[in-house]
Amino acid sequence: MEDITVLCVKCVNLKRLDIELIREHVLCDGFLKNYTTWTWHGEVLDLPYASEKNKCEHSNLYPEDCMDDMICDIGGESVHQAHVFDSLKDDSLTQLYPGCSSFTRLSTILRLFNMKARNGWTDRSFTELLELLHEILPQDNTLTTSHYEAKKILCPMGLEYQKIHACPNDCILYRKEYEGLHKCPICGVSRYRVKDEDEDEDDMKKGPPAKVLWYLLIIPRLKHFFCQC
Amino acid sequence: MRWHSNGRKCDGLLQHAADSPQWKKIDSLYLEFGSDRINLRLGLATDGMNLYGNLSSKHSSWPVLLIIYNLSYWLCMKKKYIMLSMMISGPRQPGNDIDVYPSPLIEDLRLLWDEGIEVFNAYEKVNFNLRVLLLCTINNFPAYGNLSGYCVKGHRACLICEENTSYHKLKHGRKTCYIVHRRFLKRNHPYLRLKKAFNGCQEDRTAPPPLTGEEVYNRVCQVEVTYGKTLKHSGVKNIWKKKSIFFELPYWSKLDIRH
Repeated sequence: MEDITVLCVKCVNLKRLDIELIREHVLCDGFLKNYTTWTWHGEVLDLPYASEKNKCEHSNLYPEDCMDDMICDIGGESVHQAHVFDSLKDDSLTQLYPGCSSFTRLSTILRLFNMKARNGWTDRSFTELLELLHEILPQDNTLTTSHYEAKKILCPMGLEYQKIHACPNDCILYRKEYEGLHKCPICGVSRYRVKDEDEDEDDMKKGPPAKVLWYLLIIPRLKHFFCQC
Repeated sequence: MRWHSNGRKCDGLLQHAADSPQWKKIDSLYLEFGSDRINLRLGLATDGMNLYGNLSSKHSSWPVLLIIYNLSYWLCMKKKYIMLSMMISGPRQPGNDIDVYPSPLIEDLRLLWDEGIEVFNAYEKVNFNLRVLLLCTINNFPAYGNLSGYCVKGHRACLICEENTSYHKLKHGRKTCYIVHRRFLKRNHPYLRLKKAFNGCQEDRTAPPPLTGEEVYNRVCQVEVTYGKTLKHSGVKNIWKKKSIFFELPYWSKLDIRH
């Protein structure tokens, strides 16, 4: 008869004995309680495979796997802007090029923008990179060719903000009753950045503003906040 | 969001803004607001910041941050939960005219206090009416002067003593110093009995009580001001320079500390 290891409390799988003796041991001393996976008797340990592990990390690393959730979240918020949501959804379904399974139009742009923000690429360099990628990829690819267009795709995901012009001398904000003015009613300074002093009236009514207040609206933000938690 | 009433350890020590007397005062003053624990209490922080580092020493932009005090103390000061609500771009700091800028924010806060907004809570899957209160502002002393309108320089720099601020002007350096302010120390503090180290006499006065919100409001409500850098200021000298825009919030004058 074949000897097998003893699974009683005293011997704890250390001795190899005959089956009859083992029965004696088990009856006298009792069965080893925490011995549930019978590794000494041929059972294979249930360890997670390394390849599976890698897979898990992989899905955590790349955000496109939760792209659907994200779009869902955005959709819930901006129902009033249905067309924006639709275009976003379209972009998330469009393949980067015919036959491409791993990247969609939206996920590519998102990844590239992440890299741009992380490494501080300039807008111009980003446009050049996009143009190059557009050439490298097979024909009929859907990648945008400029920074501006790429930004437009992502715009519904950004925070809602207002840019309110202000008088450079801190007199007023150009909002409400002052919205349409081109000059400050208190100090008379132009709303826009003035290059030359002797510009004519029409030139004074356009151009970049002299001072801007960025207001990130808090009400939609709080709504977002409670949607997520 | 309800951490401050449910999950918190109450051992009488100051751990969080929820332990402060002001928090409890709000609960007792505004029962309806205080009873719903999910209503938000915010802190507002602002300070000047130079975007260009040492490349341009003159530039000063003013970010305005909002902090949610409903969150636990290990979360509420984390980058993820602090909201940038406003960015006042430079190149010069707004100074006393800073009140021009938060007006859209104050309007929103007013709406959030008076009526509240309908919000969907994803955790409990219900819609509810959210109301928001601005609990305090956080800033350094010069920025506090800008926000509150109190003159934080010169002979009346102490916002508790006001007119009676005790100061001493150095004879040769001509700097103002406030050595008599050891009266704010505890009654049994050894510094109070020292003579030589200070101005030559022992200190036996006690600290005056700080101004309440209503008192400040009464001092301030008459002050008229037009904002703008180019304007010449009127000759009337007042230690309160303006009625702070925060007084447009109906609860602001009820708060104990307004900074």
